[in-house]
Amino acid sequence: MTNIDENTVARLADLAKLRLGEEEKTRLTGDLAAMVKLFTELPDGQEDITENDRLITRPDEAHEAPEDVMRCAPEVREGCIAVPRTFAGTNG
Amino acid sequence: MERVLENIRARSDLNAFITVCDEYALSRAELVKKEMGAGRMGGPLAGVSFAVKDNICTAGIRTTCASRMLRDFVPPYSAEAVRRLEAAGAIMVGKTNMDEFAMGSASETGCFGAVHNPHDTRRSAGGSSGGSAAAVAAGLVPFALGSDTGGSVRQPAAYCGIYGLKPTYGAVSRYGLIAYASGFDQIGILAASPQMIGDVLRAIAGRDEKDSTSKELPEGALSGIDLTGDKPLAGLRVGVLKDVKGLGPEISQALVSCADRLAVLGAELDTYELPGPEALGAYYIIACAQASSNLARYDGVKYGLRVRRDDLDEMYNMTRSEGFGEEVRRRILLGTFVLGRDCYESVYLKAVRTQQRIKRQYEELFGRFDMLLGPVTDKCAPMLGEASNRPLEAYESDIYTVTANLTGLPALCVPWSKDAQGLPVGVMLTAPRFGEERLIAVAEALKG
Repeated sequence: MTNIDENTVARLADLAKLRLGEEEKTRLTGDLAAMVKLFTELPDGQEDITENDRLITRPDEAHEAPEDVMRCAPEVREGCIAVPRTFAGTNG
Repeated sequence: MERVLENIRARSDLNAFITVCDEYALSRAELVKKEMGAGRMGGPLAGVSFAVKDNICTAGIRTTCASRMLRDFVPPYSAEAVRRLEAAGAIMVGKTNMDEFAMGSASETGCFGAVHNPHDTRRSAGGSSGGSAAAVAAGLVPFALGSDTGGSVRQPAAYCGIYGLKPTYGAVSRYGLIAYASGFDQIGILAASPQMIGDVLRAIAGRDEKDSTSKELPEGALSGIDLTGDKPLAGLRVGVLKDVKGLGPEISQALVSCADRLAVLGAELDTYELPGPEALGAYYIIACAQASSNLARYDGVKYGLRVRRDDLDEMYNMTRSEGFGEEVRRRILLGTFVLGRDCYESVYLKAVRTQQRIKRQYEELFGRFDMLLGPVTDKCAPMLGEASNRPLEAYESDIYTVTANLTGLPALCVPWSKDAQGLPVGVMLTAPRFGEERLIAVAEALKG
């Protein structure tokens, strides 16, 4: 298994489209190394990983009426989606 | 309804709510009152106010997941669980604070600040459904919806001294629950009584065509069970977790006294060991892998935060970097790591096999027992900031709750006692699949 160092974290951040500062990269490298050590030592096994519960998939047709779907659609002003005003008493 | 909203404002010190829906709640209350007056609406939830964790979509009302990424996101639809509650006449009053994207155990990682425990406001209300737990514990609402992926309903319920149910995976539709780890997430219920837990469960549970993982419930699964008489639990075989190291003395005492009470009520007790100590590792590997995949959708294109840049890749990077907090980034990185080519077979698939093994171990346990008794956490509510300063220790404290998510089994936190400082102590009951009504009946018998 790959050892966790700052280069590994940098590569993972690149894959996950995350930009990390230098201090954060150092901190997360330590955390990730500790998490990998803590969590990845699992015993071997030969269990069948096929899921037995069959999913009941839904049909592809939409049943919502267009007016129901559009009732809470965001407003478009001058070609841009306007952020709706939320109710009074919001935090932040 | 005005009184409910005033009470919420009076306890703004708890920081339990992100959005309080004054106008919406008042107009809904008027409507429900009219419908009840005309005899078109009734039932145990008609006119009852409730709160909703802010990772559950509510049409026209901001749903943020306590993240900068979704700070101004307003869903065009409501979650099925919310829709069913409103159809039953319940009135939503607000959206509750939480850990960002439900990742955390203390409701401290969100961008709107930490939730304070009503029993001691210097302490954490637990997480990630801390706001919902605090709102119920403070008497602001009779019940609230939360979500439980690794213990996030049960643990805050224990810290705040209330009941918290994680239903069987598939019992409640996940339509409208913003995903963290889709194989574990379940909408859960926090309430001050087992009866309220039951009333809410019967309103929201059941197959939903819009969620392929939701199940038809077995016949009778939502029929209340009445346990009466001197020995109402006669014939109930209960397994009590043994040889648990590292529990605080108040937790150990609670388990002993709860077991004693079960025996007095007629239950037959025996001990069991926690199957699969590797459960914690399997949980975090699978949960973080699923999280890294689920959160890939937050790219600044369709909804949520967008940090404008001329280059598309720059836009993705900056949006995700500014939108996600550190805990979310930590888990995305772990998930990305375990799904990498070097680790997929040796780590991720091994975790999935471990999950299967644990499921079989619990099937064997439920051949011997009808119900299992164990702790929710190893200690009472910590001081604010403790979990954030030592995140890996916080992960380790999930050991007692994650097995219910790994196996998909229903589990109920029952408030049991208080420690020497007056902090609540909870215990946890686990049942076989679709055994929620039996959990509720046993909790009611224990309360009696």
